[in-house]
Amino acid sequence: MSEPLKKPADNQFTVDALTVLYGDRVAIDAVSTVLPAGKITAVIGPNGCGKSTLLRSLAGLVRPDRGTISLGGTDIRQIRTKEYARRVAVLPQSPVAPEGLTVADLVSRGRDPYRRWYDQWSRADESHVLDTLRATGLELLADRPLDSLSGGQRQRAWIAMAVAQRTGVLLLDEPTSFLDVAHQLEVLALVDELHATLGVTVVMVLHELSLAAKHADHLVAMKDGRIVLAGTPAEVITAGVLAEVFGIEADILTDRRTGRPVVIPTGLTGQQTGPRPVVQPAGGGTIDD
Amino acid sequence: MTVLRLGRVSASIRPRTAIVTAAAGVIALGLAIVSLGIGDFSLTPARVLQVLLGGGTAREELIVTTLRLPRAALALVVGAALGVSGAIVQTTARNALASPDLLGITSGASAGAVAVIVLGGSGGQAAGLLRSVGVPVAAVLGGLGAAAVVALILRVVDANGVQPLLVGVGVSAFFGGLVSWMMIAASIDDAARANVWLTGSLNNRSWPELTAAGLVTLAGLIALVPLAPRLATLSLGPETARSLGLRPLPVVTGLLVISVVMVSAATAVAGPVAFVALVAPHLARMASRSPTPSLLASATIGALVVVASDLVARTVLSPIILPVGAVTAAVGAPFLLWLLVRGRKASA
Repeated sequence: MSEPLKKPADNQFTVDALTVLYGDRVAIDAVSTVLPAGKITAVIGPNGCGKSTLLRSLAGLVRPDRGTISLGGTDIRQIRTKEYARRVAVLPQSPVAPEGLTVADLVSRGRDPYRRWYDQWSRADESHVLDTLRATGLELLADRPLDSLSGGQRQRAWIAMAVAQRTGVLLLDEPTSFLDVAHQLEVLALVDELHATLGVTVVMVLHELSLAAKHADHLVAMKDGRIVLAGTPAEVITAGVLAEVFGIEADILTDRRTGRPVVIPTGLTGQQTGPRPVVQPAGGGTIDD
Repeated sequence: MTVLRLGRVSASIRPRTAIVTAAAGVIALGLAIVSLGIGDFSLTPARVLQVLLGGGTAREELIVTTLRLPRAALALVVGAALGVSGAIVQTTARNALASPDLLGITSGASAGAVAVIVLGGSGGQAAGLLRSVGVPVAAVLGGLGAAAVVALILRVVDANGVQPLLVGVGVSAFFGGLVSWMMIAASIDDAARANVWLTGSLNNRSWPELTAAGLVTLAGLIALVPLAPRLATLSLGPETARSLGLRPLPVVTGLLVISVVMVSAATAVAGPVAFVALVAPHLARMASRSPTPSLLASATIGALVVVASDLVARTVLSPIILPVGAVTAAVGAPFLLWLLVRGRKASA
């Protein structure tokens, strides 16, 4: 859409020895990693592994106790809140809007980082909001209150608010939780499309492993506040990593259409599993059309 | 939505909100004019207008302009101040039940004011000065103190649902106890005066009180101009607001301080006029069908509620004049119960 995106390197997060404490509990333990610009990154891991805390740290919602996060080479603590909101947009986990707020109202809030108190609704704001409503397929729902929409449509509207910020980076905290499978696919298809058309860098927390492997170019697997492995889906989705991170036994197949791994959990590690599955396990198997 | 643009300046206005704001303002002014004509010496509204425009006899001038106008104008100012501060508290707390009176801020302001009325002593010029300057200042300090206590407690307990209401009950009980203790310790004259004041009354108000409350309300409204647009951002919650480029802590603090000062100044001149700060923003929101209450609509509706309540207070049991707070409470308390019942249904 109209506004030129920042240089790609400006959208690269570098996390250096990041430690976040919640009281005595270590939520993130000296994590260092690079989240590539222009790619879709998914952070995976069991509940309480620190993946949401990592995302919230990137969003500037959690202060690091030690270590630094930099965006495009600048420590994010040096970037003013308003400027940061023009570079990084965030979809929080289960956000709440006031009763009766319409889709158009919500999406226009995405222009807040560009507003001045005397300049509340510039022509640029208006055209960006209209473009965003079009790009996210919400034109016909623009005047509907959020509470009258389905879960998937509502999530779409929140993502549209983040898109209207015209940032180089989009952070999504569990965008598919509480959605049924069709709406999960709908939301992730939208993310793919935004990435393809706007070149936006996406970092998201996902629960569903096969969806993460399908939609992300880069996976970060976390456990107990540390990164176990980061890399391409094929590198990260292996029987060994899944056993270590989630404590599960799984068969890993390859989806012939996408070339991405698909996970079929078969049991917990160290437990007696039932009869061996009919499909061929690990590496050899494929899914046909 | 209607958009106004002039060079670098732009604003968007909901037509429905603008109509509600204007209509409530006009009705409030109309009722104020009716109210000016009512009393032992009664005038028609048309005659009142003539007198206000300078066309009355000396006697009419005295009665309308000198004796009755401060009361009517004060009702408008106090109502507007309560409406605006209620809208701010409700929106920033993201809780339909949050309002300065229910949170105990009004009771803090009352305790401050009663302290000066009672402990300032009676008679004497120093005491008189202390009272006219001291009551509003002490009310603001008491209001800010109560707000600080509420804010500290709400950092620890969950700020959703009816929790803040319970905190408010506790804080109100504490300051109420303080007031009772001061009333017992006070001389009978001071206690009687404090008691009339505590019900929320517009009786016997004159120009100095009106000027003080009017200036504070006007200053508050001006200070709100740059902050008001951020209420819509804050209504999405502090974290979303931050990711939209707003630092919630300083903005919320600024908004709440303005709100507390306005409600305390109103309380200092009129006593605790109950429930207006709760009811006005809800009426504004429902009438304009907007997700959050508009500050200006809350102001004109607040003014309308207080002027109408004062009219009822003066006429319903005439010649006995009820305190305006008694009327607003009679209307406001059932409204609160309705909100509670409706909230229960919505969450069930």
